[in-house]
Amino acid sequence: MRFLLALWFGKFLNFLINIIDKSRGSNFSGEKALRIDPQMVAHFKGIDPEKVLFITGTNGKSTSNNLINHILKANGKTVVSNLEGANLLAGVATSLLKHSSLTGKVTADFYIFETDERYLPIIYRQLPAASILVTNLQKDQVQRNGDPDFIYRKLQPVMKQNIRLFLNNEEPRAKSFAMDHDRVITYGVEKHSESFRKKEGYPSMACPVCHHRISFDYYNNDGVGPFRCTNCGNQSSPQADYMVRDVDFENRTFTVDGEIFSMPYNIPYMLYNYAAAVAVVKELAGIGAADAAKAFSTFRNVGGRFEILKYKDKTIKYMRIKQENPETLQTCINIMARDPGRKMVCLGLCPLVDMIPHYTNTFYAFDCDFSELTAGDVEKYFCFSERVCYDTANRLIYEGVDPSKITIADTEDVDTIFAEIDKAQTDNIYMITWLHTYEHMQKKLHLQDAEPEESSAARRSEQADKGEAE
Amino acid sequence: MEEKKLKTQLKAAWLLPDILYLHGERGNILAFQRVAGFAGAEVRVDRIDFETENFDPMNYDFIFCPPGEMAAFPTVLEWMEPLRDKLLRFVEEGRVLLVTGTSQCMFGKTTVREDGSLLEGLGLIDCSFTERKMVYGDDLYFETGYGCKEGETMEIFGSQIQMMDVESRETPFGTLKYGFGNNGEDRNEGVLKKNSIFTNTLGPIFVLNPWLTKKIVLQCLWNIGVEIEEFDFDVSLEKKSLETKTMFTAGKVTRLHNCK
Repeated sequence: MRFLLALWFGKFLNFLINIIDKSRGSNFSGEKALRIDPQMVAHFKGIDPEKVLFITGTNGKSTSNNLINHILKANGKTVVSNLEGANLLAGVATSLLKHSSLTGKVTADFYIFETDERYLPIIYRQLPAASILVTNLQKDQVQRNGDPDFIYRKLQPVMKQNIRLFLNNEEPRAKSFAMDHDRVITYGVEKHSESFRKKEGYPSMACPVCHHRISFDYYNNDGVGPFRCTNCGNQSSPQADYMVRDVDFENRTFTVDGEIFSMPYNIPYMLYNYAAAVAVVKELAGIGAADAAKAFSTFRNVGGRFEILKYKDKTIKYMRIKQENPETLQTCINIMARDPGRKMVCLGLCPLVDMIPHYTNTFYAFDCDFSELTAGDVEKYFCFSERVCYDTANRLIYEGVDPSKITIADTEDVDTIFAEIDKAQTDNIYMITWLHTYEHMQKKLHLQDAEPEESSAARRSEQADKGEAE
Repeated sequence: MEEKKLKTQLKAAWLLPDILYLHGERGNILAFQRVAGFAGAEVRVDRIDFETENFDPMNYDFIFCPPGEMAAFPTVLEWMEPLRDKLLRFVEEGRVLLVTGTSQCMFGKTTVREDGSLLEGLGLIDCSFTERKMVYGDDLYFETGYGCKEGETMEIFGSQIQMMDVESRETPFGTLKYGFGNNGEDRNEGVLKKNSIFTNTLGPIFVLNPWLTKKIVLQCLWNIGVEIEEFDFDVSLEKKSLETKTMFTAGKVTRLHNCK
């Protein structure tokens, strides 16, 4: 009876949200309904755990979820999912609320949920998924997570269950779950033109199994690449079960099992999401490479990290990093470094305002190798954002950048940012900052724009053309 | 700024950089080299790994032990245990050992892990630790008299990602102006043992606080018989950083009560 009360209350809230404020629709009703029945996710009827997949890890959860959903739906399957990114128990509860009958019965071919890595054990206790995809486990959100082992320990009890694991073959922590586990499907990416090595002096990482040194042959993404522990048997397999090969960024294609795929977004780190999606839809739904490939050609991601903004005669290439996450910052640095043209680099690493207390951490920037960027053709650097702009500039100076090429502004005021961009001779502007500042910049430009809708459409079109959204 | 002509060499050991690899601590090595350069000293940095043969702490002027995952500490301690007496001598003779973050646990007496298990440390400092169930991340702002004249102090600013509470019976390295410090209850930050520092300040403390780095370089040089009264270099950028961040700290919302 408690479940039914929670269910009906949640459905009533969803009805109201649809009328009042749809932006609160991904989490709110589940959160409130769980107060009535804290176990309500376990009480929905008709869900076959064999059809449930959780997607967890540091980076790539949302994109993988979006892509897997897209392929399944393009092949006629019905899917219940939390595509809005609400990845805690309340988000899962909300999704199930939306797709259930008045008696709590849910009917779908598959249930695909992005799950926050810290909350996976809690969600798993109520919904024991038969399959889990682990994208990677890396340094991230240290204010909450401390270090990767903190998360690794939380996941371990679930990983030891009799579940089917989809594991990134080339990420040491994810791959280590394969040891002593017999239901493992691995996915990986072959070496490609954007694979890289870091300069000598950058630390590698400790093996999650024996705590000796992990040695990487090279990186496809920061912290992800063919590896071996120098002490134990934790290592990437020479061939993953599903392998992205023949990566051609220029023509935006790759192959899996000989099938040619079009690349929705030609950004290196997306390749692991592609490989994971091909593996999941084949193993979970029997969708072969040929049918998956057809769906790739129509995939458009939501909530991208890369966007294009036109400003006067300049093109601002905005890249959003996850703060405290060196891997996403390294990805952005690599993208700028690979651009041979003259450029202005705007770095707005910001204070962390994720939770109380806010603080001024920028130390993750010292994990990143800026050397290829600083050796390239950079007209000027602009370090802005309140409180940490000087530390950002200092990081560049430690990389050997001439201080005279660096302008510093202890502000996120968009007029100041645009004024500095105005001074650049180059029209090629790279911008890294948090979403809040970028949205202010967008708003400022749209207010100035006589035809905002047309401009916005043009921007979206260009973005799609260039494939520079996640 | 031009570095002075090289006339002496300092030897630095960077302990297990691939195992104790958290929080961009590589910056400390870069800053130590840079500031020593301003003093006219070249720094040879040796990365010390499990495979390093015949590592003898006494062959070094400065040893840096960055923070790592606690799960790695039993393995690291197995490697460190035979070096215990030499590390103790290193500290007792007034050389400079810098230990940051979680790695302090390995130099203390005991650490109680979250699962209740006990980790025995080297016992170089009279501290015990308890792993926290919840991580605490914040700014850390304190003053220390390290290397300063009587009655003088300097301000240090950094970040803290606290995985454990520290119960120390040693002299603190600093007195908090804001932050969690050893346990969030008092104003003590870290441990000072002779000239060695054990601190909760993570990330590139030497980069953000070159005035501290300078004192450490001076101490290292003094230890090898090179006496330099002073050397100057431009720290205006770091001073501006300190100024803006202390203003930020003064106005921030916090649940800490230890510095009110």
